Amino acid sequence: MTGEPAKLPAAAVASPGFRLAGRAPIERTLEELLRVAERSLYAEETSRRGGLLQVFDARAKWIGFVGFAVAAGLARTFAVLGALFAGALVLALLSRLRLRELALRAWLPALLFTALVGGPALFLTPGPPAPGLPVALGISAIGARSVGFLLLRVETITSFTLLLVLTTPWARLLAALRSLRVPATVVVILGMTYRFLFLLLKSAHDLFLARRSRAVGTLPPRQARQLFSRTTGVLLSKTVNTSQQVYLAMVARGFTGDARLLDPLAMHGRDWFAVAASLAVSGVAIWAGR
Amino acid sequence: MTASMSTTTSPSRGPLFELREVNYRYEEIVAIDSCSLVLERGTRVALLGANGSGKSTLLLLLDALQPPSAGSIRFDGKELTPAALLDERTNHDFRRRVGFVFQNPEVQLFNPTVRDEIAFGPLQLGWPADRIRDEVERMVDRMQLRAVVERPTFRLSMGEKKRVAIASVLILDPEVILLDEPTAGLDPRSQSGVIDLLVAWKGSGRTVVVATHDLGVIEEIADRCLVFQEGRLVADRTPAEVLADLDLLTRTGLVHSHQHSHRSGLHHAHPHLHRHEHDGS
Amino acid sequence: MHIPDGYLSPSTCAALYAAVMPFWAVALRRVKALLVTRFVPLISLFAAFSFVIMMFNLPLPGGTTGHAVGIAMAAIVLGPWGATIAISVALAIQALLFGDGGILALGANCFNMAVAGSWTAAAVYRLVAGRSPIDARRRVVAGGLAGYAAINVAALLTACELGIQPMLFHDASGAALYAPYPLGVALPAMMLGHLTFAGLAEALLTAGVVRYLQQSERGLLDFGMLGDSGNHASRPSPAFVSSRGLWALLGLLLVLSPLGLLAAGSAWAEWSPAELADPAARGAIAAASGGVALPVATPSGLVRLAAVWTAPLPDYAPAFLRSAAMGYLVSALVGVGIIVLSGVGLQVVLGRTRRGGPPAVLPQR
Repeated sequence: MTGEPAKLPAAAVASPGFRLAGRAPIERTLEELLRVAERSLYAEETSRRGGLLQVFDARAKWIGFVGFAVAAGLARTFAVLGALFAGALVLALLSRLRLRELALRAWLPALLFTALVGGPALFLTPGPPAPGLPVALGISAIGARSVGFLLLRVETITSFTLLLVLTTPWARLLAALRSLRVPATVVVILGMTYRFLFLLLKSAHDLFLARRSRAVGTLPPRQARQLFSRTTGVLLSKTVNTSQQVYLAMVARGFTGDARLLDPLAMHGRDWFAVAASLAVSGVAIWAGR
Repeated sequence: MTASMSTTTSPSRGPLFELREVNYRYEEIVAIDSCSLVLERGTRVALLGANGSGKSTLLLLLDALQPPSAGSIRFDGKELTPAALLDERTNHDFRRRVGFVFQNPEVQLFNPTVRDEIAFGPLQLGWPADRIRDEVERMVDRMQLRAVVERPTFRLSMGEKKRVAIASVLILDPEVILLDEPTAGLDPRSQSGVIDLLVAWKGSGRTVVVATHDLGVIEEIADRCLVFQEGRLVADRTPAEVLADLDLLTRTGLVHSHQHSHRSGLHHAHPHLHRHEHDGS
Repeated sequence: MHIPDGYLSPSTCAALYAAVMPFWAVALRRVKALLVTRFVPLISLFAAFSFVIMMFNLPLPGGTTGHAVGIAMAAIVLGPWGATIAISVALAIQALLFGDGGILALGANCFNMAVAGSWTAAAVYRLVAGRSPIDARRRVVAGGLAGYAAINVAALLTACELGIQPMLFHDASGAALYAPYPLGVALPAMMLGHLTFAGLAEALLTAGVVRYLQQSERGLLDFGMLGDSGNHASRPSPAFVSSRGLWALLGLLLVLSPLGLLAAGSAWAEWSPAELADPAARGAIAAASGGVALPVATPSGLVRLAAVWTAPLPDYAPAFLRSAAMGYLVSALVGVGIIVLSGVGLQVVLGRTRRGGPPAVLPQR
């Protein structure tokens, strides 16, 4: 899964966001584990495409996108939210991100989840009925507006997060945090966690796969629970063991507790322009949406 | 590449490592039992033994990654203790002069990208940024890692991982290199690459200590063999002598008595066959 | 229980970031001081472990599945401070990798799960396991209970944070701008799911893992690996529950403070000048005060004081800042913030953190 670049079962790539209910827990767990690896590969690939956003410095993007996200968070009108979402779409297109991929990976799952969570609010919120819908449905205007705000806001902010992550290589994403005053130790931990994530994902994946290949049919729940407990325990042992060895390897190369990083980032004129432009747009959006 | 000596070391020409009655135990297991030995500068030593014989543990002790339970270890005339390494200068000096290549490259690759990984050691030792950048570029080319230099470390093949691990140690230009089973888990081509490196270090002034149970390579990569069994040093010979002593090999679990080990059998029958394997890698 | 972006107003997000930062800062310092060199790889690996655990679809009795977070496990092995960092890191990576419980809401999620959850788990485990031997059955039960409690405390906080949104943040027509369910709906809805499925998942997994560790890795179970000099941890001081548990309780109370808004009417003696002037309210107040009649005019001092909250705010401050509810929340935050900072300051001054020893190493296997 991690040794050779990009060799994943076709099934995992084909269905990035959806998990059908009713399948065996082990199956679903395996899918979710693969989903992580797939997501990381996808992000690496998209961040190498020659689009608009890929060009900019990671720090500029952090500031810009957090600004947009806050603007979307503060917006009180549909018009502003809609404009911000449209802006995200345009940026995505300009950065060679295919809308269909984004829809499958992010927008549709978010839509489904939010509809599930927010749906009842349509019927529960008291008030005059929503115009244009049969009164018998019991959907109030206020309820509809509430759910509308939630949906649009979730989609918009998600889009900005995605744009940040899908157009910036992970290592630069983290390195930028250091410049933005996040403590070096935290940045080092984030990087190391991400790196070892794949080691543990592979171990968990192999453990479950081995058990599944030995099983005939699905496991009864009690045994399935025992399997999860045992796998978790084995994983925990491996976690601690690996951390001990990594610790030795770090000490062997001179580590004494202080995190130090090379700084490969440099802000160019266009990055400053991007920061200024994005903050200006966010400012206008906040003002217009208040 | 010559091994550069730090100005803080004493100019003694005595042995590089001196172990006296060294013991290492954890829980109820005695991993090293009363080991006394001397390692001279510039020698290439192979630590031989079956799994669990203590050779890997000895490497950790030599690199001051574990303190011995009893006995003393001296490096370049000075006692190696955790307290001594608390001093930043002593620690930096030691870590630069002694490098360790772990058996499993996964634990040695903990930085986001290949470039970051190779730069880690120099960063910890406080080299100036320009020097680090130059040295990293040089090492990347030397170890043929140009194609993967920006890649995350977990997306490399086993052979590439090993090269990165070695690069990240070599960049400090250590006088002593300790390697734990360097060929384990590698495909034949990668194995050849590693062995070529080890062979090239002959006569370079570097002190090389390799823990291995691969009898097929010891003649090429070592001038001296220390054979371990259950934590005790049981033999100190040249590779040729060790390979000729079938009784020793069997006793210590390096070959099975009822079947010749594929390699050692080959070696006895065709002493030149093995060398051909490493030409034209 | 991971709150995605869009469900909490930016001001709530900011408030919770402010609430969680002191915990992050202290945790970072404490754990680093104790572990020096081992800290970074241990926390990183554990955060990765927690992340992977969050992917597990655990089969539950009744044919359903649930997700665990691994909070209690982290608290048991790493101790509450270490767990705070490890879980926070796992949540951060999750937010960046998936957009799952986003970046703006990260402070909130970390406060609920990494801080409140870890401390609850640690306190419950310590209380229940007591000084029983490492392989006692009691520890398994303790683990389960710790997991259950941690998840439900986190869920409670989440429900409160979500539940106050419609009341505090709505547009002119009354439509909620963020999470649409009031406390009266959010609380039971969230708690139902967590008191049953999610809590059960965490409890079962934690208990199962404790049992596994008892058999295979006993050293990890000595509560909190962050012992001195790398030896497996010595027993934590008896002061543990009294001081650390209080922090968790404080945090809990802080965010629960708006619950007071649920109570209809005003608390006794907390009347505003408007109420004192209104005849209907006056009648109610008099009745609640044992029939004593109220003064005819509102005391002038009360009138002056009542304007303290709104007066400093310039006229163009957003409307929601002027509401009583916001004042409530902010006061609670400020109050607790002062207490917390004083506590941290006191600890620093008293120099309670121990220095780590020489680069400590655990024995190899």
